Amino acid sequence: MLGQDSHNEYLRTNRWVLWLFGCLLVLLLFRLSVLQILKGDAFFHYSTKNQIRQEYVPALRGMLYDRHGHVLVDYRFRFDVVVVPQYLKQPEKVLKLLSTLLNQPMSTLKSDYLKKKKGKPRFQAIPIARDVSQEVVAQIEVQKKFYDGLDIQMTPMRHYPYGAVFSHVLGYVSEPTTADFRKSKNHLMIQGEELGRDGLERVADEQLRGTHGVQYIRVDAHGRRIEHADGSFMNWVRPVAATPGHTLHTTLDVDVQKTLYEGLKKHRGAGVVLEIHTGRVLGMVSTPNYNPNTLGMNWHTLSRKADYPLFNRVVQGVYPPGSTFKVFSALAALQEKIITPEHTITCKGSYQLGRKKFHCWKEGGHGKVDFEKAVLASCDVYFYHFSKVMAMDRLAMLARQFGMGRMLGIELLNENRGLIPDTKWKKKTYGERWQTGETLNVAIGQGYVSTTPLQLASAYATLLNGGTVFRPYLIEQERDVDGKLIRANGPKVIRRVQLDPGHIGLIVRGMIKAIETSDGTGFSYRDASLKIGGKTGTAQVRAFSPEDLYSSCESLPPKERHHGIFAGFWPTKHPKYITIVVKEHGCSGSSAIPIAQAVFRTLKKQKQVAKAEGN
Amino acid sequence: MWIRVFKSLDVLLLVPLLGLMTISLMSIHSATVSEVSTGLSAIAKTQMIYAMLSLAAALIISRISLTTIQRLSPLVYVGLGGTLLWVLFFSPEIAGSRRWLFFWGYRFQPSEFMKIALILFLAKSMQAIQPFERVGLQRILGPLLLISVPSCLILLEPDLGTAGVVATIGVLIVLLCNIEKRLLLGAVVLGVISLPAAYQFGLKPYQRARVIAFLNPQKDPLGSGYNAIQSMIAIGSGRLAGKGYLKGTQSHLDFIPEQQTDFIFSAFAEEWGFLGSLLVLILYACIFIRIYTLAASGPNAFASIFCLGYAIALALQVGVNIAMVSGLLPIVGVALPFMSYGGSSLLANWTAIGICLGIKRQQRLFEVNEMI
Repeated sequence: MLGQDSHNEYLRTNRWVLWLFGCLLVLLLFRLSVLQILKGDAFFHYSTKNQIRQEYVPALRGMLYDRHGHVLVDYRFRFDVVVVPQYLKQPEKVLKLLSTLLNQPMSTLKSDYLKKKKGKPRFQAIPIARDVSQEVVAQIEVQKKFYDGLDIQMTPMRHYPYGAVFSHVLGYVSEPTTADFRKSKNHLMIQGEELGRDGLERVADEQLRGTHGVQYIRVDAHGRRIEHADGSFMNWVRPVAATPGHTLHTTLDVDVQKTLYEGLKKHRGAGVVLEIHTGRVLGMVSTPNYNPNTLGMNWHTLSRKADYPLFNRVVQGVYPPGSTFKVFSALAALQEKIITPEHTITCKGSYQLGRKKFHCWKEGGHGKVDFEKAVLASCDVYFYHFSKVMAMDRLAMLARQFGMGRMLGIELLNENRGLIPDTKWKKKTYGERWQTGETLNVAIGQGYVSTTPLQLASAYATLLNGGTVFRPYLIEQERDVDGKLIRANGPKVIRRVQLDPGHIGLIVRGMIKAIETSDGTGFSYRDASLKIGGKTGTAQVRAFSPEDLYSSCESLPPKERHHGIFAGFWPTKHPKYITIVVKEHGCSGSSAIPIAQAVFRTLKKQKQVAKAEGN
Repeated sequence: MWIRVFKSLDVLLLVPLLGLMTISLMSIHSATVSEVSTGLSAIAKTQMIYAMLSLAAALIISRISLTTIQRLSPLVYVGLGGTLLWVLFFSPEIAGSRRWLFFWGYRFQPSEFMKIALILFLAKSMQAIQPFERVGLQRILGPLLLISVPSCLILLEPDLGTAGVVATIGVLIVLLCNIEKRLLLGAVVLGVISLPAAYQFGLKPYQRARVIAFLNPQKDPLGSGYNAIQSMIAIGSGRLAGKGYLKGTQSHLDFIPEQQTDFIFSAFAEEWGFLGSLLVLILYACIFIRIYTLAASGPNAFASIFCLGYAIALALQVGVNIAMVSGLLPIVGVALPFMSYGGSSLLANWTAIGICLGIKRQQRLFEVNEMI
């Protein structure tokens, strides 16, 4: 057939179709053999990596205990709403859901998300809302399979069972900021980890933090966890368990701290309790304070408050010590042999130095005053008398030996040095010569002199223990999670001061009489069942003219009222504990006595309980 | 009568085809099965129904005489051309393009059928040209017009991939004629010159992004290049013998996009490895060779040109699809004939197979006639 012959020509003239097909076949076979045989293992590795997501497991932060083994911090689980950018396919849809669930405008959520996302890897979950309610958690768990990239993350969170009681001394934690991530070079910081921000949490952050672990989960292309994963993929990976941070056993005492806090919480001020023979800090309170459990959210408001709740007044606050400083002036005068214990003066209510009149705090004066009475009744004129002939530099040297005017090295940040002035300092700062009148002021704890409550506590402890300056400390022991001792701190002697036991006895007797005798400044607060000793101090906030010097402090505007300071010790026989209480604008030092008494009562009860248990 | 129908069928063509259909159904099931339900996945079931309908359609078409088909081809071509226009104006936009015709709750992709209609009409319009005849421009002007109309309509949907495939199939079929050398040379030169201009002005931004992603998929591994990379990982991770049926992680964990349609080969190759890929390619080669030899023994020029044309179309689509999923070509929406999920592509391809079966049957009739 002609037709058939002629159309077969199509094949004869078009062999290229066959060639084309052959080449295509070879090309595809070549490509497939490259992918599947030559690079097969590499691609197999990628496909394995694809479905395995490496996740960091935050290490639990180390625990903190008080000196009796009471737990000071624990954990609580928090639910956060997170978005994983890597899997986010429909941001608008997810935003809309979150906007309704969290009751927040979409624009806020969006800008917040974009800000947090910046500079972080795509696989990292970005927290959108912290600590959401159970209802929100339930809603998202139900709906998340329709919203790629949306998830709920459960995070253990530091919890402070005592709330505000330990605020400044323990500090608080918060999650790392972008700046923290940038700063952390040698330590891999991870989301969900908490960083210590203040107090012991901050200072001992590295010990408390622990080492994060690594875990692997199987995910699908949308980043959803495959719950029924058979576990065989675990052959390819090696999870690492997180190592919890070290445990710190502190010197703090829950009962003491609570008592101190109860006494101070309605005022502005500071309180600190030290063990006289070791330097252990049993309690430390600064008010106003903050609740570390919620601080992360309120930081900006708190940091702008006028009364500085974030500020630890015990170590950062400086106050004129007022009459509490007199024991050191008296000691200096005895040591310099300017006065003898028997030396007597007459106080008429004021003292004339040149053209200037120096007033006693008591209008009309104390009458005949010897050394003991000068201490117990806190007679200013007695101190003016001998200060006229005392070299300021000698007094300053003694104060510094006792630890004032320099840092004590407690495990807290931003310790203030305070100020112990001397002639050199005056020359350097003001370019002027030291005036005798200024020595008179310093001797009664006014003028240039300023100390922190902690320095005052340490100085009193030194006096009461016979001259040993201990470094005040908070961390007794550091142990790892298995209880193995890593580091033990004991009492650390900074220096020993040569003191005459006779002088100390005189001063201590004066301080006991200050509370126990009717002439004493603290007699009105005497508690017959609890014998304590102490020294009151009233520090003027500003200079007063002679006319309003004796007017009632309560009539002054709150900001101009005197600070009330009390330094008390217990027991009277062999003093063991020193308590310093500062009530800002509290008018008188004696008003701070009940707080110290409450502390000592607590300690006394503890001792009785221990004794009873011992029997 | 049925015995006669079956006897007239071409076993050498049908056996590899049925093999591919089996592989296809298995792979679609694997790609779409959910972990909780048992039995065949819903999508695999649907495809099974499509497959049976298509097979029936092929058998019916194989009974139609070539003359009738030849006579009907312009009508089918015009009808489908009208449908493409309709789609362009009246179909809802899905993911940025209008490709689908909705019909009683089902959707059809007229462009799939247009491929076959175009081959038929080209065969009809070219059958008068003698193979040894030198052909100038005016003799192929008609066929070129036939190619450009559907190509342009599909391009406007917009569906660059299918338009390119349709145009390429058409041009390759026209090349079956003995065209003047200087005409070919001129066309090549013109093509090379216009290519950059077409890239700049003819492509939409997302299409340009695809081309860039193809040239450098690692540049944005989670963006445009994501699909290409995940597909390559799937194929490659199958290694020699595959991960085992239903054990492909890339497909079961949703890393492969469109795994039951355009990317069915990736899902298959992951589970069956290089050996499986080889088998599929061999099956396609068998089908190609069979249709190619049918062209040689066809009863007339129309049949021969159709067989060659369809063989070219099949090879091109298989080639483009596998090249695309294995990272040799940019991701353009070209289905893998007989493997990808989708009724339109399956029915269109089986229609062509039906015609081939008819050619085979009628060639035997001719032989019988000759013997008498």
